[in-house]
Amino acid sequence: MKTFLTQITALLVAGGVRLHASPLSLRIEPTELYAQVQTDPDAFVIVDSRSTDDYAMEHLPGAVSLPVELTYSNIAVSGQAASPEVMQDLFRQIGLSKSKPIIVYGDGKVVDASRVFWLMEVYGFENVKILNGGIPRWKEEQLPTSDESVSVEASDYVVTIDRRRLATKFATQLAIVNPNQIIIDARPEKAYRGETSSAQRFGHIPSALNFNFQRSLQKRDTYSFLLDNESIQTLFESVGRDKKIIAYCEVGRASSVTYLTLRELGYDVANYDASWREWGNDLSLPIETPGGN
Amino acid sequence: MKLREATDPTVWKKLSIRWQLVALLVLFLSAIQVLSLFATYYSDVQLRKELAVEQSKTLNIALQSDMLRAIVASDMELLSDISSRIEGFRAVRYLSLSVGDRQIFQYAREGSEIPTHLIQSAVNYDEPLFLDDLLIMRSAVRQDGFEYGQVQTYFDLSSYHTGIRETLLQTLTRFIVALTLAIAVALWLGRRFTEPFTRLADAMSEVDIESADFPSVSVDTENEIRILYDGYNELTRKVGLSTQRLRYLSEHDNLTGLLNRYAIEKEVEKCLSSNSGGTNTLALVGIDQFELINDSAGSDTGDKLLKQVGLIIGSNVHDNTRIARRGGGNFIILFADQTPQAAQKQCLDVQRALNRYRITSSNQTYEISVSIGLVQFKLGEYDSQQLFQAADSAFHAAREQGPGQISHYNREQPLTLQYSQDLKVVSLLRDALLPHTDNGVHFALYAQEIVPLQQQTDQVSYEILIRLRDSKGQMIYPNAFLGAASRFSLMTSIDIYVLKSYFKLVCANQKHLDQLAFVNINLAGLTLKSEVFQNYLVSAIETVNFPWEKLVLEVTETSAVGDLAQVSSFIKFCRSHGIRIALDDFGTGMSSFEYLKHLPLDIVKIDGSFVRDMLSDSVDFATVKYVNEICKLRGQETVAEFIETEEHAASVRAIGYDYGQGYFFGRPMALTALMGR
Repeated sequence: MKTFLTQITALLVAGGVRLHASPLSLRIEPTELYAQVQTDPDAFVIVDSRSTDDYAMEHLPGAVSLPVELTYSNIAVSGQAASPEVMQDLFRQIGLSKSKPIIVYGDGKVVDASRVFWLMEVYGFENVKILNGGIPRWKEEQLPTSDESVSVEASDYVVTIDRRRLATKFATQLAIVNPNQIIIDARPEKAYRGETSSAQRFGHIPSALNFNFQRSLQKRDTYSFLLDNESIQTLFESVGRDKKIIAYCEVGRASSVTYLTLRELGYDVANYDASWREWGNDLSLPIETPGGN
Repeated sequence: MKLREATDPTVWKKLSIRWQLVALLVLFLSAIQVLSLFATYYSDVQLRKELAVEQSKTLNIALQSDMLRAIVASDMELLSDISSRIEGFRAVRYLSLSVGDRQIFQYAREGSEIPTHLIQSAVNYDEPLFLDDLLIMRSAVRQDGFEYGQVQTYFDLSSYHTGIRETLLQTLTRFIVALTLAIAVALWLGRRFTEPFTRLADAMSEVDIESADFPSVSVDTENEIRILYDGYNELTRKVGLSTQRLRYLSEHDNLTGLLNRYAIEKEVEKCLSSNSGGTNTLALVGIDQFELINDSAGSDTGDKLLKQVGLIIGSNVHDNTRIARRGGGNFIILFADQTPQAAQKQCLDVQRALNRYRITSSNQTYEISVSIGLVQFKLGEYDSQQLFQAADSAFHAAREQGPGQISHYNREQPLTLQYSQDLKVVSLLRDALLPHTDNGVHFALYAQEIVPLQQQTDQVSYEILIRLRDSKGQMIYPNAFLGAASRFSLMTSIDIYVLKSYFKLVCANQKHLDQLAFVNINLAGLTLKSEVFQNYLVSAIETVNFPWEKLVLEVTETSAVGDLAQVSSFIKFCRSHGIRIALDDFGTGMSSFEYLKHLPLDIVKIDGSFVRDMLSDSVDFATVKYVNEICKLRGQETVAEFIETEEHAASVRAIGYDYGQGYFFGRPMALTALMGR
């Protein structure tokens, strides 16, 4: 009922724009995006998460560039996001505002686009979606691209933080104790078990469940995309809907795919961006090592 | 107020309305003040509690994140931060953070005691618990539906600045101001509302009943006070009128409208005590034979006469002269501060005017005359009683000289020693009346024979006469003491004494009783009216063995004719026992034959003066003859007195008198001597 009402409202507001995917879905198909952009070029801000070079070579028409590497503060230490000061400037430069829908796309491997998607949600943008399959799929659909640089008017964006979407070290500490929260380790099983580690210590955060992010992706030749909702729901069957979830991996990049997946399913989920590279190196924090180290 | 009455009712009752008002107001205000203070204090306590609860909630929220951190990621730096943060909440005395039963952190403000044991499950989360001036709050450290631990915080309620001190000070200041104002208003109101009553009370206290001086009160208002005042004024007006009327009645003779005896005595007192230095004169004026006129002409005429006499006196004296009626036919005139000559002249004018006056009743015309006794006096010469006695003395002296006389009382002259003479005589009389005396003063009974003129008899008749002997055996004749006896009301006693003595003497002598035809015994006019005498005679008739039909009671025309009518029932009683009544000295007073008609007389004794001159004066002779004829017609026996010669005896016998009495028949002699013959 609610869905229906929202559709009617959206139809009326969009002035006849047709939405193919579920409006609650965080994904949008290239054809659908294209159709909508054709109708109203200003309906979305399309954000390219790839590197500056890739963007310069080819991008979706009208897309602005936000290279994902700029969103890490120091990836060598941890996956922690860049400081709010940096992020505010970045968002302003590409003219983002909270009110306008944003479509993020990447190189088709989902992870970078997911990371930008998550970051935007943390920074308070409420209407952000991901282009399914990234630019490879766009091109596969024979849709046009561009190499023209796009100049946009800078926005007056001011930082806000949606703390529900961000897991800090402290939040994770609380989650260990709190039975209402679940920590999901998105790294490969080996890392979870402590056989490999990108940090000093081996193992995982106490009470964390292991769920390799790859399992929720379907691979094609040039790109990957999220499984359909029914499939991913089956994957997370054992995770209660009422639980609050914190996802982490090495640097909070792969776990942003898990974040996207659970968001798509409607879970209350946060991404621990600093992830194992912080936790594993902080000797004051508890870890679990199943194999015994 | 009840409390107050219960504790000391007298104090409360003694308070004036003003102070009662003040006390009530003070009590009332104080009660309100106390209530207000309690309310302030109570609301302050409530406010502190609310503040504390509010702050505890704020503190909880503010510290929530820190508490979580302290539970899951505690380190020294954090706990130090928390401590410094709590430090900022001045009301927090103590804070404890626990996970389960394990206390993991506590904060205690410097100088505060650490509670020995914490309050546990008894207190629900976020439910305030107040202990003395502490608020204890337990709250959960909770996030995402999970309870990580508990915080217990102790707040010091007294540390909140609620401004209670300032409020109380303000309230107290306001109270003092209000109290002062209230007292002032109460005093003002009290005075305003009690002032009319005080004025009324003052007016009442100024009232002089004697002078009937009732000051009236007035007020501006138209309210109840006015009603009260009008009521008071009306009351005093009525009382004043009534008092004046009563005073008039009490000071005036209601028949003549002149002053009465009481009032004139007051006037006399004034003269006696005033030091004006002038001479005053007191005059007693008596209508001669007034009783006789009153009886024969009727009391209506008597009253008319008294009024006229009052008017005549009034018209013949100066305006400042006070006139009073003393009673009977006697008047008193007070010439205050007038020369003796002026007083005397006025008295003479009065006398002359009254001599010309005639009063007519039932076709009978009466002439009148007055006797006047005068006393001149100055301040301090007499007291009131002495003055009136002197006036009486002078008046009696005038009376004794005959009708229409004026007599002056003079302290310096022997004539006016009457009064002191009286006192000596009275003293002798009193001694004589005693059953036994040491000084030998006594009465002696004498008798003068009464001889039948128309027949011969062996029996004897006589009139009892009385003589007084002093301690030296000197004999004193009745004319020397009867006046004083009358003035000092001793006549009744003397009359009774005579009867008793006579009965005592003759009852022991049966032979004499057998020989006795009748005995005449004189009674003073007042004696017949005296209850003492009447009682005596009644008891004597019962107890004394005397042939009562042989007793004749003689009453004088001048003094007692009127009285006979008044004592008719007693006379009837006497006559029922055979006692007869004789009228003595008939013709000397105002009596007329008309008079004889109504009196229950058995015997009439014509006055000696007619008999004495009957041989030389044809009028007297005719009178003697006429009296006898009238008496005979009325069935009364007649007695002629003053028979001094054989010619007189022959004349009265020829006229038809039944009895004769006089020196020709026998001089008075001691009764015992007569009995012994």
